Amino acid sequence: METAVEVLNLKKYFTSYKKKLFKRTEKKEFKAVDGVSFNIYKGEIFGLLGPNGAGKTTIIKMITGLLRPTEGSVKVMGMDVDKNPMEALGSIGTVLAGDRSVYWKLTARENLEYFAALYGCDRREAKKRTTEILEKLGLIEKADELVEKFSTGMKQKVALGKALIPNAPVVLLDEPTLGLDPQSALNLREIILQLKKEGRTILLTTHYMEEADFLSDRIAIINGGRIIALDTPENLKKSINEVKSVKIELTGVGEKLIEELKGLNGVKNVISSYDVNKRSYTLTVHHVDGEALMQRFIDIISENNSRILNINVLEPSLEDVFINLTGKSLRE
Amino acid sequence: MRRIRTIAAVARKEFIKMVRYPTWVIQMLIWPLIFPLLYILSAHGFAGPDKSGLELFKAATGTENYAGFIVVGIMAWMWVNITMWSFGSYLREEQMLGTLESNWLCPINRFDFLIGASLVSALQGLFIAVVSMLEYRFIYGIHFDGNVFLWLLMFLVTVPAVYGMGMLFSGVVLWLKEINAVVNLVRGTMMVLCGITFPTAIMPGWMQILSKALPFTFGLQAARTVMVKGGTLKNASGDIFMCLAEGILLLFLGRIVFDRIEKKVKISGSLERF
Repeated sequence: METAVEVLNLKKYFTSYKKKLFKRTEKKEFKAVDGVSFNIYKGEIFGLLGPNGAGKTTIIKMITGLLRPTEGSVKVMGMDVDKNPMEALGSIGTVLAGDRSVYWKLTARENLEYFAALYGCDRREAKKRTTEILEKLGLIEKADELVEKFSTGMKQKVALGKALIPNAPVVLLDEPTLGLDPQSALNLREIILQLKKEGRTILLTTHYMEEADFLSDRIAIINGGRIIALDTPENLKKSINEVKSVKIELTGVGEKLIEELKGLNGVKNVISSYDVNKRSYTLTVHHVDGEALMQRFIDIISENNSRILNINVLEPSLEDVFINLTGKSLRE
Repeated sequence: MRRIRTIAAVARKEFIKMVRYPTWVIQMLIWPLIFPLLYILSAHGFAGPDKSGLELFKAATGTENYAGFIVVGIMAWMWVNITMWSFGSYLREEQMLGTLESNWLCPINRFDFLIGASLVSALQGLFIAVVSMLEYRFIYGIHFDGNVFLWLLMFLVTVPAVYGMGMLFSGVVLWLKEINAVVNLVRGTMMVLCGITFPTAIMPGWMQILSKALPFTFGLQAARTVMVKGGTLKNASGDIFMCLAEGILLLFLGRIVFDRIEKKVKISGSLERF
């Protein structure tokens, strides 16, 4: 398979100093990205999945040349981003920072025509491309309205339109559905799949596991600046086949209850959460011996004066893969 | 061609944004009238009831037309001021809006981006100059020597210095983000050292030496020679040369500083921070 993006041993260390008046007293180094390597093949959707602060945006910024790596290299369509930044940028369409990356005081059409000119399109070509993209994104009716009047989802679509303007073979999408309502997020995901059908190579960062699972051909799970797993969503889930999870909805959860569940042989992890609307707690228990343990779960819960409202045995998800690898939830 | 397209696109975008905030027109019509009045009335008062103070003014400047002397300084100052700070304030505004990275992600020369943005400010500056001249001529009754081409030339000779200083400041904006305090300090210092409303000859010797390090001092002297004292281009050629030479030096310095700081920002990852 042909490679569209090649990332080799990418590192980004940020240095900060503690200062006493104007004198630097202590140097601190933060490893935002620590030796990341991967290839993205032409025509695939490659997902970078990880919690906030894992290093996803830092990687995208190094791919686009906005950030200079401490070490390592990036090639886009065979061009070294550090050595030929302008040529590489011409092959990339990027959505960063979502709805704030376009001008709210311009119309959707003016925004896209402006960015088309920056990508070297002449007036006629810019107008043609802009109209095509506005139609594709379902924005043609609102093309001449100021972006400031748009909903967040529509602003995000204009930002995506900006990324499509250069008709670049590689599209980088940094958290494209962040802050969108479910319907807008679904629309945007359909557009992303359409881009794949057109043969574009897409790098998508997200901390929504369902999104990564639904869209990506391959996923790199990233945590603490390192890739901890890289495979297709199916293979990643298969890799923890022996690990089962049970979701138990109950009336109350205490530290003692969680500790007792964690203490059981075969239990790998217990994650608790509280649903404000339902006013109930949910425990997700990852274990390797479900049937034998189920009765013990029930016993421990009743011994702790809690009442079970619902029990579900779950298929492994990417969240489970992440928990299995890191011991914590993606949302933590 | 592509670079011109970028400059034109940025300028057009800035123009559209400017038009959508139309109150600037009021400021541009009224400000040129109010700003010099303070200095003209002060000069009028200090000249004394018998205008004997004008003799001293003439000895220092070679003209009795103090109102013309002041308004030429003010006009040049407004043009320089608006255009020069536009570079830095433009980058700052883009940072605050969140669109700076979007632009940096396009395969464009960063200077084209800045030049495009400054064109609208330059246009504003030129508009103010035209409005000013009309207002001064028909409301204050001030006479200007020379012709429109000479006046335009006097504005153009300051362009390299304005752009050089602008790039210097845009580099500092990328680095330090909020530089209003620095801008005000430099703006005030330049206003004094360049002799916007008074002849530099009346300043202490050390200040006169410092004033010669600023190209705008020479630009202003040239403008006054042509527009107030009735001098020819030849009479102003020395000042024009110095203004251009120092301006070109500033232009080089501005580019180097901007390049360096952009590299630093790429390492620290602070481009979008504000």
